[in-house]
Amino acid sequence: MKLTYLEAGLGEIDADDRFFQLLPGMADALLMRSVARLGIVEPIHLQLRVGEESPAPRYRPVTGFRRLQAAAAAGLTRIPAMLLPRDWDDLQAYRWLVEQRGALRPFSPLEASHAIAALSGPLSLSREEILRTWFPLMGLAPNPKLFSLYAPLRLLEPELQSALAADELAMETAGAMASAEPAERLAFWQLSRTLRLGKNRQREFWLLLSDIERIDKASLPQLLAQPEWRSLLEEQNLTPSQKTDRFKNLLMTRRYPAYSATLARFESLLRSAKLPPELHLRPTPWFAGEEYTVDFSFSTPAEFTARLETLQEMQARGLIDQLTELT
Amino acid sequence: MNASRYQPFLPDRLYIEEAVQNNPWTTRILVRLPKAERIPIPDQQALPLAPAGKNILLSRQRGPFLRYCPGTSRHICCLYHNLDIAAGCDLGCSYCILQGYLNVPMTTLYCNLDDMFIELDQVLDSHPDHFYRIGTGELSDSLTFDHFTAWSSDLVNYFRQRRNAIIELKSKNTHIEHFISLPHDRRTVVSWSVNAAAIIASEEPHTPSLAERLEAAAEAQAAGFWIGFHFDPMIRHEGWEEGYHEVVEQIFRRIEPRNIAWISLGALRYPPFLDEIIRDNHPESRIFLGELLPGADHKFRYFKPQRIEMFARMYRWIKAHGQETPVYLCMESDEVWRKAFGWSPGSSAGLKRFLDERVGG
Repeated sequence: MKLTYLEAGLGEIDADDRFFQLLPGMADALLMRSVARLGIVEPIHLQLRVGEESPAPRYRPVTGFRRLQAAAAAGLTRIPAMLLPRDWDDLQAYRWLVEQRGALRPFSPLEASHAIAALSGPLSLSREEILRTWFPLMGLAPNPKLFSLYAPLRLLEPELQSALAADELAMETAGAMASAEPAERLAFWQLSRTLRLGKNRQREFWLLLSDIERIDKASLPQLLAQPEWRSLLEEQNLTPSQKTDRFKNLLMTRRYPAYSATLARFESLLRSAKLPPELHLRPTPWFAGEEYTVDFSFSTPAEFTARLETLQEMQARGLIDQLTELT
Repeated sequence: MNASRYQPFLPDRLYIEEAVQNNPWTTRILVRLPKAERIPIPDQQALPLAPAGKNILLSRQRGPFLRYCPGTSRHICCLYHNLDIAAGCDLGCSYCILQGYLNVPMTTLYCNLDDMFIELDQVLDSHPDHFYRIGTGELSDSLTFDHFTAWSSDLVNYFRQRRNAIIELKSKNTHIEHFISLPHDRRTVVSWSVNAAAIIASEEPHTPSLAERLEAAAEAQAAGFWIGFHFDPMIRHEGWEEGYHEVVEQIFRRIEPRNIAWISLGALRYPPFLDEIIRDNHPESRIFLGELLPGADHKFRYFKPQRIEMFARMYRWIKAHGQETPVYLCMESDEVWRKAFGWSPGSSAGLKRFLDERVGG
């Protein structure tokens, strides 16, 4: 394999041809300043257009999309480049690109998504071929689940792709969101930012909301527009953490109405028992069993007696009977 | 009557392990499937990755055939034994645990039944005072491949001669032709998994209809077999009360209580890892939208009062047809038994005794 060095005119390069671009994005200010001051230091890679008499522009970019953009912004007219062998077809050029990138580090999910699109689309490779041959080149395990998870990610809006690239959006959530409608995705992302959800909460809330959408036969924007939900999200006097807790309660009530009703009844009984903070009474998780657990702390005989009296008073008032009926 | 939507499974390709290539149970399958491509392989390590089409591996069972049903912790188990002659199923029901449970590369039939009968002899002979309820419906459907294996006939013949064991052929299928006219001495229970019509339509779309299953059950009853029914998994859905009540009524219109070995009830339950698998494999299904919450064994189950309500109603509907029919719960706690049925066997041993006594153990 022999790459040829050349100085290419910017006008000879088709900057709009993004076939080889693995991760769409714009040159940042730092790169812009660097290129304006020093020019292109690391040559970009080009493929010669073939099959036409005098194709114009003559070259397709294979690497260096951001540098190309910075060069244009800096007013450069010629840039250093390496030309891929003339007899390489698109598949060979793409393989070279993937090998080069994969040798540095494993592909990110978004890079893999764009590569899958190119390989299965214009390059017409089968899913099996991509998994068996190309995933290892990308530094990825040939796992069909990864394929399914990564493939749709490029459909996410740029804002969501940026959040995923910045590790602000959970991979599994992004994968699930990719199969939803754009309006759903954006509504959820807005909610996530309002509540400042971490990645675990994102996953939890997405799943709850997706289920509620199907149960209620309503879209996410419709759900979020409900007065009770909207007023909570617009509440000014709550911290994001408080809003998140209350919003989760709303979701649980809608998703698990029977369980939530039992929990509310239990909490009401506890409130009416007026237990001191040193005495705790708990049901089994999710009320799966019929037992309750009581624990309390004391430091004097008088405190010990007081705790027992509190429990006896609960029984005298019929609260213990009500608790056992609850489960 | 509408034509059946069910299409019997016919494999395109048979991968045949060297260890069973000359085995009579393999030969029987090959004779019945003349059109299937035959690919001899040294062992299952030589199988291709995810081959297209409908494939079956004819293999040798390398572990024991007979295993205790795994049951689940802190729940009453019927102390059943599974006989693993196959692993995998063609029916594709949305809730099926096998989607996330099996570690075989493809649907596998274990053809070394000669080894199985030796193992059964050893176990049953060495514990003559212990009664075994044994079934082949844990890792597969007992009858779904029987139209080309006919292994049911071997099992019915074998268990006919055993006094301390009974075999249960548990199925959603109707392939009873290979054993229906055999003598059996009531050592075989032929049982059907049944569900509400709406659930069969949406979650079991590749199975015979309820009417077809009950027709097969009526034939098996006429041939003198014990009949069993398993309402498992019961799924809460719109109209579930009418749906399940109607199935109970249809059963008792066709089957006499004295011929029913047992009816089991089990509500939808699955380990956490299966939740994602069901959502991925069956995105149109609504079964995971129920109030399924983690239990003491970490499996998802319906919120307890909902399960109790379902079981209590079913118990009442079944018992309305007489007290004779034994009804039991699969993998439920003593508390749920008491609250749903008003009684409990108290322990797994108690439940085993209850069921053994019904079939002469």
